[in-house]
Amino acid sequence: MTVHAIPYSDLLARHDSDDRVRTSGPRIFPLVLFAIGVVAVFFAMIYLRISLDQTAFELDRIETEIAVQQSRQLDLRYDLAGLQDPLRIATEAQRIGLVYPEERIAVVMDRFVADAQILESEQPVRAMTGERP
Amino acid sequence: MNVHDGEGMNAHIWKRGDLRLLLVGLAFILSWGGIGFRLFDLQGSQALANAEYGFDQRIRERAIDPPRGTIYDREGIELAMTINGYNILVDPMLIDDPQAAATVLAPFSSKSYEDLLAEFVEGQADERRYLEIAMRVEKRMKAVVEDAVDAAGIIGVFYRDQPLRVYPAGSVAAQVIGLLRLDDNSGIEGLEKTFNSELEGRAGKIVVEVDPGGRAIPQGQVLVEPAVPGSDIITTIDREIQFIAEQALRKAIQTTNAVGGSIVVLLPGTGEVVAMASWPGLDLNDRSEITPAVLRNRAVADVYEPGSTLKTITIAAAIEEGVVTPQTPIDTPKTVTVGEFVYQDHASYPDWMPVEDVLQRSSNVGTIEIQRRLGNELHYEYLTAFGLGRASGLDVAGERQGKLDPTKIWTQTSGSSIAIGYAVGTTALQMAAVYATIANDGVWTEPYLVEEILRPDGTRIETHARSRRVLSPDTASEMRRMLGRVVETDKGTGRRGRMTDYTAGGKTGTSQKFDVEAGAYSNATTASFIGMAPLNDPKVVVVVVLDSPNGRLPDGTDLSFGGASAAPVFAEVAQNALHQLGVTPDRD
Repeated sequence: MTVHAIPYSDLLARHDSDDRVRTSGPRIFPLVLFAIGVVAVFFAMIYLRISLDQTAFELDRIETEIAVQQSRQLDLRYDLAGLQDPLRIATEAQRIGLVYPEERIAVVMDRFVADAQILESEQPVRAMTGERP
Repeated sequence: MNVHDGEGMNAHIWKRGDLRLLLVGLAFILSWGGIGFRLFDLQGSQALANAEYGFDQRIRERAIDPPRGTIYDREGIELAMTINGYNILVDPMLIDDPQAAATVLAPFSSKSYEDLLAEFVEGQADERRYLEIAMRVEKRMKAVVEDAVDAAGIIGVFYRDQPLRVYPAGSVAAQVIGLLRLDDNSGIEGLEKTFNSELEGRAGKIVVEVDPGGRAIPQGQVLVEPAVPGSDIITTIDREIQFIAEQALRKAIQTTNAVGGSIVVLLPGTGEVVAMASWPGLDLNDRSEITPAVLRNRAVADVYEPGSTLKTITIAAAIEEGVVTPQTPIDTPKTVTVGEFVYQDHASYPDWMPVEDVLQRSSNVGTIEIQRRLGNELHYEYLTAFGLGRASGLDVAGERQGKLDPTKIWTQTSGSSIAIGYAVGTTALQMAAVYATIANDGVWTEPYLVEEILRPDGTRIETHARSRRVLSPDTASEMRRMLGRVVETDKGTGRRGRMTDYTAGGKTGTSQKFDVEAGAYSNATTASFIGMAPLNDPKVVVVVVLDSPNGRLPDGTDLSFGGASAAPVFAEVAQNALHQLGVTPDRD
C-alpha cells in the first residue's frame, strides 16, 4: 500500500473551502423559506377551514331561510285557496246583503269571427281587459 | 473463608437488588404488556366493533318525510294540500305552576282543564318529560298558543313540526277527496285512498354527524338521500259547480225531508265528472263529526232501483233495433199482467200512445210492451252496453258495480220489471253515464275524476277514458228530442226541470224502496231526475237522486215523486253549471 503525502497548503485550502460552504447564506435561506411556507400553509389551511365553516353556516342559514319561505308559500297558497272557498264567499256575500240578480244578461264574446259585430254587452268586459270600449 | 463470606455477602446484596429490579421490571413489563395488550385488543381484535360504536355515537340517521302530493280541482285550486303544522307538547317537570299552565293551555287542547291539571300533577310525580296538549295545529294556532304561554310566563311548552293535511274548501267535495289516517298518513277514503301510492311519495333519509349535544355539525353531513315528493293530482272537479250541487242538494234535502241524496254533474263529451255531491256531508277539517255514514260517497256507493229513468234504455234500444219508431202506437191499457204480477200506471192514460208519449208520460204499461217486442236478450245487451252491472271504472274508492242479473237467471217478470227500472240496481254515476251516452251522440264514455297525475320528475300521466258506440247518432238525436218533450212540454213528467236560460231534456224516476227486513216494497221512494242541457248540443248531464223524500208542496204535489222533488234541483244545478262553464244560453 502506497501512502502519498498531501501538502499542507492543499489541506489548508480545503479547510478554507469547507468553511465557505458551511457559513454561506443560501444554505439556510431555503430552510427558512420552507419553514415560513409551512407556517403560511398551516395558517392558510386554518383560514380556509374557517372560511369553509363560515360558508357552511351561511349555507345552513340559507337552507333554513328557503325552508321558511317554502313553508310561508304553502301557508299563503292555503290562505288563498281558503279565501276562494265558495262557501266563505257565499256566506260573506249574504252577510253584506248581496242577492242573485232576477235577470241575467249573457255576455257573448265572439272575437274569432271576422267582422263580428261587437255586442253592447261585451263592452264592460273589454274595458276590464284594458281595451277602451 | 473470608472470600467465601465476601462472596456470600456480595451474592446476598446482588440478590436483593436483583429482586427489586426484577419487580420493577416485571411491573413495567406487565404494565406495558397490559397497555400493549389493551391497545392490541382495542385496535386489533375489537377495531371494527369500536369503529362502529364510535360511528354510532356521532352519527345520526334521520328520516325525511316526503311532502304528500296536492289534490287540485280542474282550475288548479287546491282541494287538499299538506302544510307545516305543529304538535304542542309539555314537559311536566319544567312546569312550575300546574294550575296556571292548565288554565292557559286548556282552551287550545281537546282535554279539559281538570284533565290537563291531573296529567301535569301525575306527570311530575312520575317524572314524565312528555305530554301532548294539541296535535296537528296550524301555524296561526301555534302563534296564539305561543303568545298566551309567553304572556303567562310558562316554561316547558314545546312545539314539534308535524306535516298537516288540510282541505281549504272544507266540506266541498269532501267524500270525493276522502281523508287520511292520523297515525301513518295513509288515505282511507276517496281519492286519498285510491291514489295513496301516488300521493304519498317515498321517504328519504339523512345521515349526519352530530356534536355531543346532538346538534348536526355543519359540513359533517355524511349522506343525504332526498325524499321523493308525492305526485300531484288534478281532478276533473269544478269547485264552483261542486259547491252549487252541494248547496242545491242540501236545500232539497231540507225541503223534501229526504234522508240523503246525491248529485252527479258530468260532461258528456269527455266523461269528466265536474261535481259529485253527497248528503249528509262533512267538513274534512273537523274530524269530530266524521262517521261512516257521512263519509260514504253516495253517488257511487249507494245502489238503488232507478225506476222510470231506466225506461230510456228500453226505448232507445227498441228504436235502435228498429223494433219501434217514436211514432209507433203502443197499447196502454190500465194494467198488464206478466206471469202472476200485475203492472199498472200511476195515472190514467189513453188506450194507446205513440212511443214518444210513452216516454213523455212515463207509462209503465207502454214501456213493458216495448220491452216485450225488444226481447230479453237484446234488452240485456243494451243494458250492459250502457255500463250497468259493473263498476264504471271511476277512480274513486268504494264504487259499487250495481246489480244486473244475466238473462239465464231472469224470471218471467224480470224483463218487464227491468224495463221500468226495477229488479236492477244502479248507482247515480252509472245512470249519468247512460244519459251521457245519449247526449254524446250514442257513444258511451267511461266517467272519470282524475284528469292527470303530475309526477315530481315532471312527467304527466293523463287519463284516456274508454269509450264505445252504443247507439247510432240518429237514435241518440231522436232520444234527445223525446227527452226534451219530457221537460219542455206541459204534459211531460219532468216539466219542473225546465230552466229559464237553457232548453233541457231528461227523465223522471220514482221507485219504491225495498224493505229488506219486511221482504217487501215500502212506501218510501227513491226519487230521481236525470237530464241534459242545452238540448240540441248537451254540455252537461245532471243526475239528482233523493232518498225517501216525502211531504207535499203547497199546491198538493207529492214530493215523493222524482218529477216534484228532484226535477227542480236538476234545473237549479244544470243552469248554474252551464253558466259556470260559460255555455251560451239557448232559450230566448
